[in-house]
Amino acid sequence: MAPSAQPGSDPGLLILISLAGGPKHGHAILTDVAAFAGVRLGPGTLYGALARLEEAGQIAALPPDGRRRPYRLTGAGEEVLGERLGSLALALDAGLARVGSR
Amino acid sequence: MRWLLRLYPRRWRDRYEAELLALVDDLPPSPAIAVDLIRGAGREHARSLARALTSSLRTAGGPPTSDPFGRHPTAWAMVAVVVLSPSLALVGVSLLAFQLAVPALAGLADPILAAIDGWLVANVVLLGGPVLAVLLAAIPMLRIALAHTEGELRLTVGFRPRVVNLAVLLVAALVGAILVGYLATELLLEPPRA
Repeated sequence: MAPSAQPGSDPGLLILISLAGGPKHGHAILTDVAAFAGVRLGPGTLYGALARLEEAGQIAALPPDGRRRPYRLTGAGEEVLGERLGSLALALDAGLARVGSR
Repeated sequence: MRWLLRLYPRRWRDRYEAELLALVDDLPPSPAIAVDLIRGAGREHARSLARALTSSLRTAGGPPTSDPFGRHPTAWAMVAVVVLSPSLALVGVSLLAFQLAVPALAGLADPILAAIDGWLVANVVLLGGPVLAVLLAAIPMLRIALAHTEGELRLTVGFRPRVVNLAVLLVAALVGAILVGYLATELLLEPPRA
């Protein structure tokens, strides 16, 4: 998945951040993402991103809980999330320093 | 709203439909959700198409895939022979009749040539046959792969020669060259019409 400079425009990154807090099913991810990022993901967008992340081995499906199936972050997903947040942090630091120096 | 999930590809639905349905049932229906599901279905069809296209092509020297050309190279060479056969028959008969002066064939070739002279469809079939046959014989020997790695789309092309396909390709190219040569000579030598 291509990195995005804007976390809000990258459902994959938002899902990884949400799952870093523990396994969640679709509805819980939507609620969590809306709470920490203020982004309302649609169900089609969410499941498109979940499918890609699962295919990439960054998340894994857990046994279903009724009709809902929770997902968890994998080791590979944790690594990718760390790298992407690291690059975002660098950009954020540089941006804040430049804005602050004005 | 549930019926919108039927827009997704079958294989995708087999894996995700039940849980997506549970999520859609939990959300209040809205036009935004409908639009999001339609867009999602379009995206999954595009991905599924891209995946099918990529897997139908082969990596150079790589393992066989579902590529219909690569899996049956001889069969495609035979199809090429069938496509080539009208042109091959005409060139063969003409060569025997006029170059080797076989009288029995001259009697056969003359009416055929007279019949197709100026008939556009026949000329297109006769000239297009060798071109199509070359492609049909050559494509199964190519190993083409599209790979999307690190944000870049890479195309690799390999070649795995096969005796039958090469033979058909050479004959088709020869027949095509003879026909083009014949046509060019006829056009150059034919006196301009008043």
